[in-house]
Amino acid sequence: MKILVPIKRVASLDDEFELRPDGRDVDPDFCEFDLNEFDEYSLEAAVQIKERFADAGVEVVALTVDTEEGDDVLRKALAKGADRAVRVWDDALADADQVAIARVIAKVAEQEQPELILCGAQSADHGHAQTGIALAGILRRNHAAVVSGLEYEPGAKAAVIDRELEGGLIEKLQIETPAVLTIQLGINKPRYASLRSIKQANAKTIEVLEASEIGLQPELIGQGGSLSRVRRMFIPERGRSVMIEGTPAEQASRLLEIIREVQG
Amino acid sequence: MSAPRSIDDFLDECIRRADAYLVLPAYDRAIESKRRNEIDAILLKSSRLRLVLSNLPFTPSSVLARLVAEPSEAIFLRVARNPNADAATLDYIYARTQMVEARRAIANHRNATPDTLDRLAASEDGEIRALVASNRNTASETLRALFAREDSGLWAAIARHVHADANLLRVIFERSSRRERAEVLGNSNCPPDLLQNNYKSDDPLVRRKCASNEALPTALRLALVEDSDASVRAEALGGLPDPANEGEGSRADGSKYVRRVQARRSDVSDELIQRLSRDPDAWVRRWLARNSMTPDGVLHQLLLDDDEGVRRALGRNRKTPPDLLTRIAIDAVAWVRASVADRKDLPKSSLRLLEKDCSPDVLSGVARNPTSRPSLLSALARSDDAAIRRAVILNKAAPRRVLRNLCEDDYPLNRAMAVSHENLRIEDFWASAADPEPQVRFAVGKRAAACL
Repeated sequence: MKILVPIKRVASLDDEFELRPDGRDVDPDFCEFDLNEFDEYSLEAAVQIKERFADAGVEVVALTVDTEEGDDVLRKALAKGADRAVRVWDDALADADQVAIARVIAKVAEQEQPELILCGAQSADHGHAQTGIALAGILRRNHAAVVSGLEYEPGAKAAVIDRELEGGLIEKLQIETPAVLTIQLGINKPRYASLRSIKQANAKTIEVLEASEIGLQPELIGQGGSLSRVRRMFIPERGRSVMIEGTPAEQASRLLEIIREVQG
Repeated sequence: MSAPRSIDDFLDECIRRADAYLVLPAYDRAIESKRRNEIDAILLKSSRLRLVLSNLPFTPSSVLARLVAEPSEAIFLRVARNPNADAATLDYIYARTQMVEARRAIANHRNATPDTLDRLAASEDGEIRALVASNRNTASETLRALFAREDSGLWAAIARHVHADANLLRVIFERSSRRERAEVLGNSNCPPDLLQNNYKSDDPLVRRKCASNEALPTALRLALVEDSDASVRAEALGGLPDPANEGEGSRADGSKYVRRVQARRSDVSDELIQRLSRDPDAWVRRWLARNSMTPDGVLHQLLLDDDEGVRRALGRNRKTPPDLLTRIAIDAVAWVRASVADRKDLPKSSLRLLEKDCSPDVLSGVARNPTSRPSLLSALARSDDAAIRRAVILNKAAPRRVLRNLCEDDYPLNRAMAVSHENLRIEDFWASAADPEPQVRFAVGKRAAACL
């Protein structure tokens, strides 16, 4: 039995940063890259199932859609307990949105046939929270989002999950497998990778696939397969503030003027 | 590879590994070597690395100076904000950029020179001038020039500045409002006649500022100890030389804030100690429990206190006698037991008892205790709890063989601390030069440079 864990290398910004010349993203020189925090939890959830049912032969497969720079997060996943690491890349994917990325993951999932696909609820940098759900839609699999508790025994036909609702309510529901779940922060306590496991992970092979090898048509990846496109990124101008001086009557009069100016 | 035997060996190995984090703490040694150009190439190899290094609070000043030699506004700004940037580097940046953010960073920097600050004081940017007025390196002449700009928003900062001289303070006092006048009276350079004329002011803020002035004559301070305002009394009492409080006697103050100050003074009388030990305010009793002047009898009495913070304070009092430490070690609250677990004067029998404790706080204390047995430290170094393993590393008496194992701890911070332990020799920690975590390799480089 397999559990597929799609992971992402995400960027965190320096205090001061600059945009790329095309204005559509941050210059990567000003970013620190690491494994998406949400994916740390989904990976830990998968590894815990594997360890709890050690005799069930569970295989945890970490997958990322990235250039070779994504190998760092795959090795981190291997060090934390993933059994295999797969990276898919094609230069056409450089402009892919979440749906186009989900198409790639779906193709790998069709090959791997996992019982569970555990995604992070969202990425820490872009925060769309769409990849997992789009993946479930493409695969036509059951799904649940923002899962905060998970009970699953390999071979069972369903998983029992918790979801946090407003007002402190917990929704406990049963979902038939195979299924796609997006995992919320706090569902478990992600482990530190031991020094030994890091060294072992560095010696492991990462399976690298091109889009054509998993049967993806060129028009379905990258910009052609995307449903959205970033037009530009920018920092909005800060709103101006002004201290209104004078007596209460003068202040009220000036405030009224400002409201009228804003309303045009 | 075996550990390097000389600094040249070490630098050769850094070059072979092309590891910026390993060589970073040893850059001062690299400057003197013929390897400098090769080391520079490692540190400057990508714009991302240059940006990262310019931002790190532990990047040595010599590396920061090298980084700004490559003109880049982004680097200038980061280095100007880096606390390790030295005066020459800040001057270099000042001379090469007009960027307001970088100049603000220089104006705020602890290493900015008085000359640079003087030039910045002429800036048209109000924030830069405000930062100059607050910078401890700003000279009195510069403060005078700032005051002359008639920007009253800066007067309070100038009035509290350590380099504001008596003449300038007097002028500020004469021309300013309540808040700035109070700051003048709190400045240790304040003219004595201003203090003499104002310590009886009707305004509690003014009296409190007088009381906070280190240079306030003792006679005036003693008068303020009797002030009607509790905050003034607390400030005045806190500044009294210790022990010098003649005449305080046994009177417990009506304000708990003043009693807290009384409870931590070394000249507190026996009678007052007795009163304070029954104080309704737990913080008064906590301070008393930590006070090294509190007699044994009162310490024993405080052991029965319902407040666990009081009992913990007893455990932290260096004068607490061994029999009391023994009783604290069997307290029902783990946080209280933890207060004595790291004490080297804890009786052996109590330490043996605490070795079996389940609380991570207590076990961390035992792990830090320099009298703990090596075999126990070895066991604690294998704990599932990273904090307990780290506590072993913090133990100055930790044996080499235990520390060598901790150099391979799962938790990167523990590894960085372990390789920094003085009981380890370079051959013990050199294998960590290949650690995947940059902070660990930095620690290895730092220790190696110190050893060689």
